[in-house]
Amino acid sequence: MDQEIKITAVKSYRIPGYPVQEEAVRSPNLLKALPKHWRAKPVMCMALAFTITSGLCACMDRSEGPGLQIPVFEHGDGRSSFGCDSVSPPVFLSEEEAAQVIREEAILQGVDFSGSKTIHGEFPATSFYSFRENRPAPGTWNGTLDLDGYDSQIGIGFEYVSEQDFSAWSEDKHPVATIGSYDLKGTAERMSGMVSDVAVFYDPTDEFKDFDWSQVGMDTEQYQEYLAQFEAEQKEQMKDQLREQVRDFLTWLAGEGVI
Amino acid sequence: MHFTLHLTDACNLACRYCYVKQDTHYMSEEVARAAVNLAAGTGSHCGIIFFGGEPLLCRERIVETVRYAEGLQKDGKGPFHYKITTNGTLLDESFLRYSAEHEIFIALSHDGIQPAHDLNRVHSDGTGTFADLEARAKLLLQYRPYAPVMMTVPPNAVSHYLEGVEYLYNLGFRYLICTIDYAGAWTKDTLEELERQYQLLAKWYREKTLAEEKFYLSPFEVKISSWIHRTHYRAERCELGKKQISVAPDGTLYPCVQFVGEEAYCIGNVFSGIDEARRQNLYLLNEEEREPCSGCAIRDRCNHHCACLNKQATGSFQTVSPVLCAHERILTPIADRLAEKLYKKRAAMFIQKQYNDMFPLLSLAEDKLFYQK
Repeated sequence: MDQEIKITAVKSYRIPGYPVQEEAVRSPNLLKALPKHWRAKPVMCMALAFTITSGLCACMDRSEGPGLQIPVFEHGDGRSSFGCDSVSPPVFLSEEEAAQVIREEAILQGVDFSGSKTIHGEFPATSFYSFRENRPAPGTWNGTLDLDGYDSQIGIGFEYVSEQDFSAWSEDKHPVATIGSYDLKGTAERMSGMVSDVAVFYDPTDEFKDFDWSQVGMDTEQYQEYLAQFEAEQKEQMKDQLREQVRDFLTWLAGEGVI
Repeated sequence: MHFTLHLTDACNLACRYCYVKQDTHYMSEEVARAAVNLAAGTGSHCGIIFFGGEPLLCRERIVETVRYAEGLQKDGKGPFHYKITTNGTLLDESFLRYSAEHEIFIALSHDGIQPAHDLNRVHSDGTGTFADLEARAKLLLQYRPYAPVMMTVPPNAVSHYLEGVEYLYNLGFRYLICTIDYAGAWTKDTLEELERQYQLLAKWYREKTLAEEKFYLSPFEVKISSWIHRTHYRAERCELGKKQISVAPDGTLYPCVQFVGEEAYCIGNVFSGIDEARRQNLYLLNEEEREPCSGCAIRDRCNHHCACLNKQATGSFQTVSPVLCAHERILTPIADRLAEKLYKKRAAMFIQKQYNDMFPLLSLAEDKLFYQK
C-alpha cells in the first residue's frame, strides 16, 4: 500500500440535508410520494394504504389529515459563522425584511400570506456548535409555532428560518467555543420534513468573501460607514436569493395544482 | 445466526486478489451435519452459507447438507435458509433448478466488464473467466431473478467501476453488492479515480432512481442508510462472532471468514460447540474504539469496526485499514449529496426505498403480480 495513505479523522461533518427515520416518521404524507408504476396499479395503492393503516409501516403520521409536504428551495448558502475565524461579519435578513420580500413575491401569484396561524408539534432544535467534532446533532423541541404568514384560502403558510429563530431554538446551554455557526438552511430542511402545508424559507446568509478587513483599521466612524455599506450590498443580494426561493415555491405549488 | 460452511479451500480459479490459501481440504458429511446441528441449537432462522474456495466443487455435500437440514426442519428445528457464493463457472441448469426448488439463494462473484473482470478473475493458467460467465449469469437470473452479484473493485480495475455496474445491471442484476479490494495496492491516484467513479455512479444512481427503476447498489444504500437508520446502523455493525460463525473444512469454528485456519482465532469446534469465553474475548476486543478514530465526526457511519476487512487489509482485526478510512471519507459525502438531491425532489422511488419499511414486500408483491410469469 502507498505510504501516503493514512487514517485521517474527519474533524467536522455537516448534518446531511435529508431526514433520519425518526424525523421522517413525523412527516405527514411523505410516503404519498408514489412511483408512477405503482400509481397506475390500484392494487399497489391498496397494498400501500393497507400497510400504512394497519400500522405495518413506521414512516407515517397517522394522526394528521392530508397535507402537502413542501420541499425547501435552495437559493443561497444559508450558513454563517461568528468568532475569530469568520471570513466576514455575519449579515442577516430580519424577520420583517424577509416577510416583506416573501409577501410581495407571493401576492404576484395570488397567494396572500397576510393571515396568521399557530401550529403544534415537534420542531428542529439548533446548535451553534453542531459542526464540531464529538458534538451530537441537535434534537427537536415540542410546542407551538406561530407561522410567519398564512393564506387561509389555500391553507398554506410559511415559516422563515431567521437568525432570531436559530438563536431562540438553540439547545446550547453554555458557550462551547468562541466560534459558532448558524446552519439556517439545514434547519429549514429539517423543519420542512416535520411540517405539512408550510413552506419553509431560510435566510440566505453566506460567508461573504469580499469583506475588506483592511477597513477595520479605520477610525470608528469610517468603519461604521463601510460596514453599513457592506451590509446593505449583501442584503440586496440576499433578498434576490430569497425571492428565488419564493418563486421556486410558487412554481412548485402551481405544479401541485394548488394555485 | 449464520453459519458459513467453508466446504473446501480448493478452487477451480486463481483470482489474483483472493485471500484464501488454496489447498485440498474438503468438509466431510459428518462435519457438515454437526455444523447444521450447532446452527439449529442457536435459535430460529438459521442461515447456512456454503462458501469456499469454490463451493460448487462440493455439490453433493451441498445437497446432502440441505437434505439433512430440511429433515431437522420437519422435526421443528430451524427454519433454515441457504445461500451460496460462487464464481459461477460451475453453474448449470440442473443445479439452478435444484436451487430454485430448495430456495437456495445464489450470489455470483463477477467484476463487471471483460477488461476489468479478466484482469483478476482468472483460471490457473492466467486466462480470464469472463467468457465462461455471460450465458451462466443469464441462466442464473432466469431461475433466480433476485440473485445478487458481488463485484470486487481492485485498484487496477477502478477506472472500470461505473462500466462494470452498468454492464451487470444491463445483464439483469438488480442487487449489486460492490466492495473495493481493501488489501489492494491503492495509491493516491487510484483513490482519486475511485472518487471520480463514485461521482459518476451517483449520477447513474440518480438517473435510475428518477426513472423509478428498482435496484440496490450497496455502497450508496449502506451509506445513506447509515444516516437515515443511524441508531440501527450503530447497533448492527460488526459483532465479531455473534451473528456469523465460519466453519473450517475440519469443523473448527472461527468468528469470520478472514480468520479461518488461524489457530489464534479458533472459537470452538462443531463437535464440542462454541467456546463462549474465547468468542466473547474477541468480541470485546473488537468493540474497543480504535484510537485514531475516536475523534472522527463520521465514525458512527463508518465501517471501521469490520474486523474481517481490517484483518484482510492490515493483518490485524484491531488495526483500521487506511484504505478503508480513505474509502469512507470519499464515499460518505458523495452518498449524502446524492440522497439530498433525491430527497429534495421527493423522488418517489427514493422515498419508498429509504423510508418505507414495507418497501421490499411491496416491491416483491408488484413483481409477483405484474412482471413474473
